[in-house]
Amino acid sequence: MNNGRAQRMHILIVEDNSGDQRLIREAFQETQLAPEAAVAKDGFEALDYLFQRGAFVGVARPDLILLDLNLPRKDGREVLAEIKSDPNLRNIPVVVFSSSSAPRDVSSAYALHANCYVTKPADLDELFQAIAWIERFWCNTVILPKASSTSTF
Amino acid sequence: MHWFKDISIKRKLTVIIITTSTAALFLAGTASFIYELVTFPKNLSQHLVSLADVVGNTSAAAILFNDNKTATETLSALQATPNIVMAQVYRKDGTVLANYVRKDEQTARLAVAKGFSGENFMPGYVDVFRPISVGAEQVGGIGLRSDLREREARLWAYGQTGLIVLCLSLLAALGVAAVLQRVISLPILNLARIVRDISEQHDYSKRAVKDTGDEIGSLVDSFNNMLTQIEARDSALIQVQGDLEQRVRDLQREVAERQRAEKGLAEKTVELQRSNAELEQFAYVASHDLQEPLRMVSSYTQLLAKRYRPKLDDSALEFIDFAVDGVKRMQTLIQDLLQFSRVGTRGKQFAPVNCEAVLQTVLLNLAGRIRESGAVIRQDALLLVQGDEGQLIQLFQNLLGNALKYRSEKTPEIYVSCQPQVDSLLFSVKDNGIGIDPQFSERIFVLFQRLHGKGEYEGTGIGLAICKKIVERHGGKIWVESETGQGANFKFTLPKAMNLALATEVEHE
Repeated sequence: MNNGRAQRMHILIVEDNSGDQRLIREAFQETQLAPEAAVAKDGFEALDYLFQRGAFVGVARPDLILLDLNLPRKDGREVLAEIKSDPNLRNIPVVVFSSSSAPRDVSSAYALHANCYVTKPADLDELFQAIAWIERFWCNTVILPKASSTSTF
Repeated sequence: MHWFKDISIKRKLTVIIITTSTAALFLAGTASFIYELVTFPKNLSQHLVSLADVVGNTSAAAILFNDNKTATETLSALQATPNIVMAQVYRKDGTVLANYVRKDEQTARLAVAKGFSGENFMPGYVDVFRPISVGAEQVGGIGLRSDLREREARLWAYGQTGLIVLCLSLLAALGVAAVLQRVISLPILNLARIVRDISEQHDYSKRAVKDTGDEIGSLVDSFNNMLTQIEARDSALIQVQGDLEQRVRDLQREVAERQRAEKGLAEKTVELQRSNAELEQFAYVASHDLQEPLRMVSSYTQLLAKRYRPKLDDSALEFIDFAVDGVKRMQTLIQDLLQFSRVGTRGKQFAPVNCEAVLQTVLLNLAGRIRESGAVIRQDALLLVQGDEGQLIQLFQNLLGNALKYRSEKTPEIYVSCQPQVDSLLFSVKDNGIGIDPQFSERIFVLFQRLHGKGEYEGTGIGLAICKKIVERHGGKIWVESETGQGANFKFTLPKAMNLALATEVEHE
């Protein structure tokens, strides 16, 4: 089961709030596997990272994307739509991680093929708990596709 | 005769008088003329006969003595009578003894009439013959020829007199006409002037002056009478018109006021919509943007405590607890504020709501607390109201929640009642809890007003403020009847359901 996980997992955190970036990274640090976490602070940076453009040439393809919805410059929904319309990126699981629990936001995220929607808890302990569950589920429980497609470019 | 119709009465009078007097004069003149024409020859012949007799008598001796000279002298005395053209004295045998011819006339012979007697009228002349007698014996005769100059002179004199009289009568007629005009035409003119003034100035208070008791006088009376009626009608009309104008003005003012009110209302509506939109925006800002930095403060203070607990002393940890507690309270306050503002902005349309179902939902929501406190809840049959179900659940839940929260040492007893009123329902939620000092019965409904310290009872003081806002949104009133230690009785009114058919249907479910 841990065959494919010999290497550390890569996670891309798309989050504009530097406080949250740090909290999420701290939370991941405390998880079982402590995956490597990269951060993009807005929609453009996230897409540049995913397409390995500009400053992000040669970065590792993430195994999981944690996406905030309310982002400056390019909205999280637009980023989600671009990821899911790209044949090479669409198989990367996207966890929408937003403070909003509005039904409208939830349904629109799933309509854009988000893999799951988790409301960002306000309380620190709950936040750490949520990140721990995300890590446990997506990095331990589920089987993700081999990142073979990435080797093509 | 058209011209006559159109001239003034004064002229008419003048014309009538002149025509009448002229006609009278003309008739009189003609009569005199005819009389003169008829009587003149007779008078003339009588005159001539007597003249011939006088001259014949004087000439009788001369005929007897065949004295031509004396007879001619006698005849020449006729010069004193200018109309005698010729005169001849005849002997008995008819021969001429003496002859007289007026100077300007030519000599001629008179055609002697038989027996020296008779009159002979010819154009321009009259011949008269008379016998001359001495005693009973006829001795000769005399003939006179007279022209008609006298008649012409007389007729001329007549004509002149007639003309002068006519002129005088014309003057008199003018005078009479002037007088008559004053008597007849002046009152009519006065009347006409009044009529003209009235028709021009529309002043029906004027009256014509009655000077005479004749037809014009009665006309003036009738006219004044008519004016009185017109004036009465006119003043009535003016009054009605004034009333109408007043009404129109009132209506115009009313319309203007209504328009202004409508405009004001429209502006208010726009303003309200804008302020509602602003509130929504505020709600969003409060829910997201304000929460965000608070979350940072609480998260990092908690992280600090979590990571560095071994290195921190008790005071530092206590300070962190205060900071975290403060942030959490602030988060609750913000959530409450948001909830409060949503009563107005997120309210649903009113529909018939079964309060029985509402209460059941509330009892289910509060089931844990009811069980834990051992509360006994009794209720009337609850009727249907016209309202927003979600908000009604919130209303009942806040009140029942308060009843459970502010309980005394006794087992909580809560009684929910419902009494129909004219077009509303009076609800009450009565408990046997700690009660409320009447002096605070207003204050408890004000946002964030609390009567107890934070240690005693939880809460931000938003529950009753939200209740009040919900009841008022439904057009009702909420108040509390209570004494300290006597329990509280919260009463409120809600509108009855409008659709009765639906109401019965729901009741039978």
